[in-house]
Parts: sequence; structure tokens; C-alpha cells
Amino acid sequence: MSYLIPVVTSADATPLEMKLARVIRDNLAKYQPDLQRRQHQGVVNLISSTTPFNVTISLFPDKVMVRRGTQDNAKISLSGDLAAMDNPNLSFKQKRHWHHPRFTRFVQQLIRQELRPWRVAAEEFFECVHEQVDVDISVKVKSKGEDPYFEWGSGSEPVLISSSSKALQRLFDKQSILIEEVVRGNIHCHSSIRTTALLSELTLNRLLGGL
Amino acid sequence: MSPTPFKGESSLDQWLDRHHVRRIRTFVTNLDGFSLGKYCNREKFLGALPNGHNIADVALAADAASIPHFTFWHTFRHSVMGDILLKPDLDTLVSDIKDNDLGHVICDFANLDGSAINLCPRTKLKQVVQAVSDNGFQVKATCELEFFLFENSFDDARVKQYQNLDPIGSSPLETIYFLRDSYRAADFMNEVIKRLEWYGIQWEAWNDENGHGQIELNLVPTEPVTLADSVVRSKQIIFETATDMGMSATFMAHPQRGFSNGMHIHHSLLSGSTPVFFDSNKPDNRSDLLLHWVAGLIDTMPAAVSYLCPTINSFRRFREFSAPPMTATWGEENKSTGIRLISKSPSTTRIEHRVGAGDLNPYLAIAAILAGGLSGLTRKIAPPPECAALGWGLPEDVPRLPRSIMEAARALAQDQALKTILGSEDVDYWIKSRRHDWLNFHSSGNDPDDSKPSQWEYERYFNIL
Repeated sequence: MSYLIPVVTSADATPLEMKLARVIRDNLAKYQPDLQRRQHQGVVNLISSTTPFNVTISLFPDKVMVRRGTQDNAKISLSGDLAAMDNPNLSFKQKRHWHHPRFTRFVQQLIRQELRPWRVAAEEFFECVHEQVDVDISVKVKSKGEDPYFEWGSGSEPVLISSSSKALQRLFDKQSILIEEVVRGNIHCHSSIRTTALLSELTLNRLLGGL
Repeated sequence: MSPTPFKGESSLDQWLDRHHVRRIRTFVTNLDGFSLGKYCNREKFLGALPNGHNIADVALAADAASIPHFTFWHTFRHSVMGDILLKPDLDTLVSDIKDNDLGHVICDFANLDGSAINLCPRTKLKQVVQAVSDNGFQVKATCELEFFLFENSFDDARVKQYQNLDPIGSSPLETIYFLRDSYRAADFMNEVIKRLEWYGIQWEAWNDENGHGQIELNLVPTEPVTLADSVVRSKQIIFETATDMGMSATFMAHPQRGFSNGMHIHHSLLSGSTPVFFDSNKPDNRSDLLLHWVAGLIDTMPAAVSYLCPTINSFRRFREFSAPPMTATWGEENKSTGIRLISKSPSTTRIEHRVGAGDLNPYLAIAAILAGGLSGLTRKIAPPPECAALGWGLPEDVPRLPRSIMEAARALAQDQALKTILGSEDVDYWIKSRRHDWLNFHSSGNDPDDSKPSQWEYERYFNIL
């Protein structure tokens, strides 16, 4: 049985807050920590070194809250590039309250993104796609001299997605939405506007966890 | 075949000749309430009748910055990006007051075969009005248009990044009904009124409103689609008059500190010519029908907020004791509740819906209100107790209306009553368009809790809405 502990964001949470909440949710489920333990409770300020946004993570025995801004009663403050939440090697520096090493390690574990191999994520993505869009997707991966080619589905419209494995990993691991990668030139998606929109919506829903 | 008589002339051609019209400006309102259209020469316009001329389908499927809606879909759209039509409503054809050979006509978005596109805001309102009519009633409605007027031209405002503008008026205080402030705006408003009357838009009164440089214009109650047409035309007239006079005006909900622009919507129901909200045999003259209608409005109000407050900026209005209602409540002559009821005499009995922001799309907002009332009527539900106290400062356990564009979108997503009447696909598309704006706002580095509107909001809304 998975460890179901709510990770709460405000109603008007930003995409960054929601992404952070998703990462924490995944890690909580993965590590199943006991938040009843006092050394795992407290308020953390995440100070962004690159954007005007700071975020507070409050760890309670029964829930975790992600909120915009900082709080004066924070147990620790970490600074780092919040805008680079896509980066699996994201690192934060401890700004003050250095005397909570265990808590700091715990928090860093909670906000660390551990990306799955893209093929694993892609399988999950395509299962989700086939439930909602009637398309026949082919994926061409170009990286490090490799050029593997994958095909999924047997729908009415052929779709060819061609990209580096890095961009695909972001897409399939719920880090980005299709149309953004297409517009940035990272992914080439040969399909109708309709299918691109529907696939983008699916990736957006996965990123935000629905409405 | 003899030509069809048109507005007192033997034909449309004759009418165009009589009014010296050689060019026609088509005018349509998209989801966000922006005015779009083309200037057509007369031959092109007449040749395209009755279905109208082509326009790219993204005109109805793009955001304020004309970025196509790439992350959601509607069945009216073409899978390779194609054209749809602007279908003119010839009853709305008028000649221009300044441009001697120009005419104006209001249109609906339509499919290439001329059939209706349900997502079109004007078409949607027509459908809801028809649904009310199918239940045996006609609607009479009106709007209070609030806007801010500045001495600065639109160009000047843009150069100043919409900061520290000079609002019209003489008082540094946030006065209301202040005749000295009104006098300062009189030249502008006289020109606006002259143009409104030329275009057949009936008005009742205008006055200095609370905010610095804020003016309120009241239109005469009429049939809902005509009213919404008058609202979008009035907004265009106010924009054009301000441009011509080297000034600027905005319907943006909250462009500066202090009071905000609302758009209160009044409506009443008639059966034939008989008002049906009033019943002298009932307590407080409130008919059963009125109470069901109010119940529907209250029940759907959190969901309707999405249509009544459509932008990120709309929600900056909401503060306790600052004029906009905070709760889904109602009360007789109560201006602090979501619904103000006025039920003293048959001819004036009406409902004032006070939630709407100045930046709302009048077609969709009125459609959402009528759909809410109609849902109460068909379900015959009873309203919650009347709020006899102030609707502000209520205990924390009294639910507040949604406070952000996403909260409102979620409330709408969960409301089956509005979806049933407004159409699920169209409501879902609207919800996704709100999420699109919300994402765009946040990914541009903005914070809805900032005390001041962001440049993103000014650039998107100041002179477009």
C-alpha cells in the first residue's frame, strides 16, 4: 500500500509550485518517510536565485504544504535555481540554520527529481494517449549517434515525433508539454493541429495533475 | 424575384445607396470579449451574403496575444488550421457617424456552410435566450458600464507603461457623483453620447464613479442580445472617442489602486408584457418564479464567476468592503451581496447581478446568468435565507466566491447545471482557455498576489478590452 500523504498547494498555485508539489508527492510515496518523527517536521524556505519567486514548504505530521513566499519561522532556508526544476541534478545551498543537518538532508531528498528511463516513462505516456486520442504514433529518437525508432498504437492518424532523448525525457517524465517543446524546436511533431493540441493537452494535464 | 425590403428601403442595396455606404466593417466578439473584424468593400460584402466572409478559425481559438489555443481542442476547428465565417446580422447594420461611406455590422462566427458555431459568444447568448423563451418568458436586461478615463493618449499610456497616468477629474479623492469631476469629463461624454445615439444605442444616465477618473454609463433595458451588442459597440465607441480626443479609456477591471471597474447586470423576466418576478399576493411581492430564479443564480454563482470575472486582473477587484460582493448571497436593496433584489413595484422589479467585472464578455456573462436562473426555475429549488446584513466581513465559515481564475475554472468544471444549459464542450473549452491564460501569466514571471497589476496585464488588457 502506497504512503498517501496529502501535498497541498494554494488554489492559485503557480506551475512551479505544482511541479514542486508533484515532485514531493512522488518522493514521499517512494521513500515513505514517517512525518510523525519530529526531525522531519518544520518549515523550509526555498529561495530562488534566478526568479522573483520564493517558496515555502511546511512539513506537518499529516500533510505537506507548498506555498508562495517565505516565512520568518523557517527551520532552514535553501537557495538554488528554482527555475531549473527540470534539472534532475538540481542543488540547493543551505543559507542559514545550519544546525539541522538531518532535516536538511531529508528536505533535499524530498525535492530531488529522480527521472525514470525515458522508455519507461514513454510506455506510460502512450498508454495514457491511447485511451484518449485515436492516433498511431511513431517516435524517432536521435541522440549520441543512436537513431532508434519506436511505434505505438494503431489509430486512424499517423503521428511522427522526432527528437533527442533529452527532450523526450522531459516530455514523458511530466516535465514539459508537447507544444512548448515543438515551438522551441526541441521536438518535431508531424501531425494535424488537432492531434498536436490533444497530445499537448494530455502532457499538460499530466504536468499539472488535471484542473 | 423582387428584392427584400430592408429598414424602410426597397432593398439592402437601396439602403446602402441612401446612406452612401461603400465599405462595411464587420464586427465580432471573441471568447475574451475582444472586438475583431474586417473592412470589406461593398461588392465583397454583398457577394458573401447571406453567410458572410471568411476569417481564420483561430480568430475564435486564440488568446489575447493571438496565440492559437494549441493545448486544447474544439470540434469546430479545422485540423490543419482553416477558415470559418463571420455571418452578418443585417438587423445591426448602421452607417458610421464620421466616416461618410462606412457601415458597421455585427456578426456571429459560423461554419463554412453557414451553420452556427456553438462556441461563438453571441450565438451562445442567442441559444440561452431561446431556452428561456421556450419556457415561456422573455428577458429584459441592462448593464452598468464602468471605465477609467485618462488625460493621457493611448500611446502616451503605453510609453509610460500605464503607470502614473492622469485620471480625468478635479478631486484627488475617490469621490462619487461628484459634479466637478463629471464636468471635467463632460466634453468626452457628450461626444460619446452623440455617437451612441447615432448608432441607436439608448442610454439612461452617466455619472462620476468612485475611482479616480472612473465613469459609469447606464444603458436602457432591452432584449439581451441587443443589449450585449450595445455593450460591445459602446466600448468600441468609447475607445474610438478617446483615441480621437487624444485620451485613453480602459475597461480593465483593476488598472490602478483603489476602486475597480465592475459591470453589474440587471435583468427581469416578462410573460408577454407582464412582469413575472412581481406578485402582489406573495410576501414582499416576490413571485415563486423569482425565488426559484434567485435560487438558481445563487446555486451557480461560484461557477458563473468564471464568465463574470474572466481574466487574471478581474480577481484583483475582490476585497472585503471594497464594493464587489464576496459571497453567493442575496438581499433586498442590498448592494453588498452577490444578488441585489429590487421588488417594490411591477415595472421596476428586477435582479441586479453584482459579481461581474468590467472586463467581462457581455454575451457570455449574460448567458451564464440566464442559464443559472433558468436552472433554478427548471429544478424549482429554493434560495438560501436572505442576507439582511452586510455581505462583507461575514464569518470565515461563510464560503467566499472563487478568488482566482483557476478557482473559478474549477468551480465551473464541477457545475453540472451550467454545463447542461451552456453545453459541455463549450464550457470545457472555456475552462481550458482560462487555464491557458493562467499558465501564460505565471510562466511570464507574474504573481497574482502582487499588490499592483503586472505589465503583462496592462499590455494584454488596457487598451484591448
